[in-house]
Formats: sequence, structure tokens, C-alpha cells
Amino acid sequence: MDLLARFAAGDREAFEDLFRREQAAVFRWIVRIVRNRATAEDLTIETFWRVYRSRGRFDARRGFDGWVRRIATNVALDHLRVARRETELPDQLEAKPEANPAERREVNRAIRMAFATLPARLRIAATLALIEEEPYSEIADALGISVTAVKSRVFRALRLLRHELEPWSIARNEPPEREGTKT
Amino acid sequence: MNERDDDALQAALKRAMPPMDEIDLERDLWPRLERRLASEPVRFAWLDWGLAAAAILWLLLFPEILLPLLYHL
Repeated sequence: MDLLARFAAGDREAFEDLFRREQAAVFRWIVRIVRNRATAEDLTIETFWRVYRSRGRFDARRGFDGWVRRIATNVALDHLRVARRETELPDQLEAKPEANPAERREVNRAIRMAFATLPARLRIAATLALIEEEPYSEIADALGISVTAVKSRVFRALRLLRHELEPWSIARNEPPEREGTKT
Repeated sequence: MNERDDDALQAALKRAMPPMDEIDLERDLWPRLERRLASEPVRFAWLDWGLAAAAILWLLLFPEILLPLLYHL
């Protein structure tokens, strides 16, 4: 019996082998969505916990990797729904300081806050498409929706972000004018 | 809104939230998952509860089957 069949039959050793083979890939996928290492580790464990519990529904003909990725995406989506608005996105990987670091930090913070207010299903599509530049087809497969639906979510995310960031001149990366600063 | 605006916004997004493509898992997570698997209580399916309820009901309705049942156990 091959590894996947043994896993589907409830063999714990087969599950461990699959976990060790896939954990890094699942972690990398999740961390790109949630953008936090510790959270991504927790969600990787949650993903494989759901994988193990759902093993009876696993269809070996459809492949293990894609199935796990869909579960991981749902786990990350659930997390974003709960975490939305609670915290600003971490800036642990802040871009290098540029000409005006204070203003740059302020603009980046405004962008992260605006991004954090997006509905989870738009945020996940925008993260994967615009920041991580994953192919639309892969995003669609992971979310279990069509490519057209992914494009629509990205478009709506951009529209909402543009609205939220209207006071900021994003193209020039300048903060909004404040009272008393006009000459 | 045009394509150029979208490109500028995408560039700004990537400056504020750089891609995470170089972040790798630094430790084996199996021990943590194994602890979780071990700590999860045994769950009974609805079918199990249904069968248990049916058996109790059967014994209440036909208590005389208890002795033959115990004999066969």
C-alpha cells in the first residue's frame, strides 16, 4: 500500500511521513498570507490537524499537495477573519530606510492599517496576487474559486484601498497635509 | 482609476509589506502536532451515540433479553 493510501486508512506513521515532507511548504504558503512566523507555525499545525481529521474524505486521485494547500488557505482565511482589525500587520520586514524615513514609515503604516481593514477574502487574494505575485490560477485553486473571481476580489481590494488611502498621495509617497503646514 | 494607478498602489503595498518569499520554517513542528494529537479527547460520532441509545431503549423495552445477552458476552 502506498503512502497516501496508508494515510487515508489512518496510519499514523504515514501521516508523520507526509507531515515531515510537506510542513515546510505549507508553512511558507501560510506565512505569505498571515505575514507572521509564530502565527504561521500555529496555523501549519492547525492545518495538519484538520488534514488528519479529514483523512476519510481524502481522494488520492486529486493529489495531496493541492488538497492540503486548500485546507491551509481556509485555515489562514479563518485566522484573518478573527484577527481582522485587532492588530495592525507587523512591520518586521520593513523596507530599507529611504530619503525621508519618518514620512516613509508613516506612509507604510497607513498602508498596512488600510490593508488590515480589508475583508479577509479580499485581503487574502490581494496579498497573494499583489504582494507575493502568485499566479492567479494558483490562487484560484487554493481558494477553490475561479480565476475571474480572484481578479474581481483583487480589483475590489484595490478599490477599497484607494478609497482608504485617498488622503495620501501614494504615487509620491507623501503624508497628507496637516493643519498649519500650509505656507 | 487606471492601470498606472494600480501599479503605483501595488508598488506602495510591496514597500510597506515586502514579500515573505525568503521566510523558511526553522524547526520541525511534528513534536507540537504529536502533542496535540495525543491530547485530543476521543470523539464519538452521532452513529455511536445513536447505537448506544438504541441499545438502552431495547433493554428497557425488553429487559428479559439482558440475561441471554450477558451469557453471550
